[in-house]
Amino acid sequence: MPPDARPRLAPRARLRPDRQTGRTLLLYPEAGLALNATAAATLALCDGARTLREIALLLGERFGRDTDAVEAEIGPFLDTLAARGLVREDR
Amino acid sequence: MTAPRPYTLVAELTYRCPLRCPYCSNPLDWAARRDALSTAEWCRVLEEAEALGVVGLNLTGGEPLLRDDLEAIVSTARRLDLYTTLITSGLPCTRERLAALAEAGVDAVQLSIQDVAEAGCDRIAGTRSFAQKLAVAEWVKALGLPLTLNMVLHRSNIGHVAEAVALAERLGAERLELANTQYLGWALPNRAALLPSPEQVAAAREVAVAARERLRGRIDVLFVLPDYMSDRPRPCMDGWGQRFIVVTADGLALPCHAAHTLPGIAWEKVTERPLAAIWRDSPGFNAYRGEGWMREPCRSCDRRAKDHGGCRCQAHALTGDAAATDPACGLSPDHALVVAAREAASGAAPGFLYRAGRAPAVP
Repeated sequence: MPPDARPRLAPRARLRPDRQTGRTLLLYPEAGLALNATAAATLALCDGARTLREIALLLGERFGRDTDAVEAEIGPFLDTLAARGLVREDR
Repeated sequence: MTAPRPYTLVAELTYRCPLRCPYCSNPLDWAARRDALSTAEWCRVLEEAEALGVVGLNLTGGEPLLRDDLEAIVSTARRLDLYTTLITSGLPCTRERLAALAEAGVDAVQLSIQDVAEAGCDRIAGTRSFAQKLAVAEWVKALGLPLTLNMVLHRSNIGHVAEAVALAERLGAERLELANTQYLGWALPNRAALLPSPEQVAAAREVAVAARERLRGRIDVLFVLPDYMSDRPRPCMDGWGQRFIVVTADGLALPCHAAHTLPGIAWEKVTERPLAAIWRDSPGFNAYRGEGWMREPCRSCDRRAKDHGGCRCQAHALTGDAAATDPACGLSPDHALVVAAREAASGAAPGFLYRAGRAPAVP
């Protein structure tokens, strides 16, 4: 996913808090994923308006990490979800 | 035994259905099992399930649209933030009803098709239905809801996988489930008419695998090699009493939709005991939970954590012993039963025994 892509959750996917664990779940037809803190924060920022670069910048500030390093981490994560039809990429 | 956390509640809201599919998974004596739960009772079951950890709700049946309180049940599911999938034949349904259900909180729709064209679909469903299903698919998409198409595969339609993929593309489905028939419920007395030959299965698999690759990211194409063909049991329900709770139209809480067929277990009703107590403590949910019940060859098998010994209901249906290794497994001493059925599938097929109000005489 290029830095100027504007990812958003596909309509079939939805985030919800997990009361049992305090984590965030990504729910979609017939299945779901338990997200770690970075993944949950990433998807919460994927609104179809922010670019991947902007999301990485925000997360870098929040977690005190280098923007490039965050981008290198969340890019492949979003690519994986896109390949499963759970994230869409607006340009 | 410590109970794990359930994730999905399967609500079989009614056993009534306008279709008469010969592989229906409902009980053979479905007509004697009345809809036992009121709207308020279903809503309470949803609340109790969510408190246990459930995050997904499958509304099924029978045909869930036959319940006129479906909107109220869906509203409760939305309040509880459950991911709610309506699993429907598409009959009876109007655009207005579907819009009301979307508004109430349905997150996704799984629509069944019995075949890829009118004649085949209507013949297998035992009623005119194909044109209506196409209309429902369009309404689902127009409402912006994700659409899963589900086609149960058997000898009469397994040659149509390429056409099913094309239909899913044309209708804008996000997911296509090519679900090989499981030989329980009405499918077992129909097995000789339904079981495809190994050559048919191999050809269908090849088409499905190619489509899955081609459509990756657009349509999730699912084809699981059927247990009768693979010499491996399926990991039924991801393990007994592990992730799923089924609540039946007549109010029983079960680990799977066929568990009521097992003898010697007194299944409990959600109207008589809290769901949490049934899930954690009932003899039925604990009967085959974990690995303690296993005998050889399951007990020492390195695949036991993966397939959980297969399907208890199939083990019982084929061998009379629910604790036996699933005969679908190549290691089962009863595997010859499945091999014989598979070999017979190359011969002439008898006609369908359609689902009806009276239970068939099981051979």
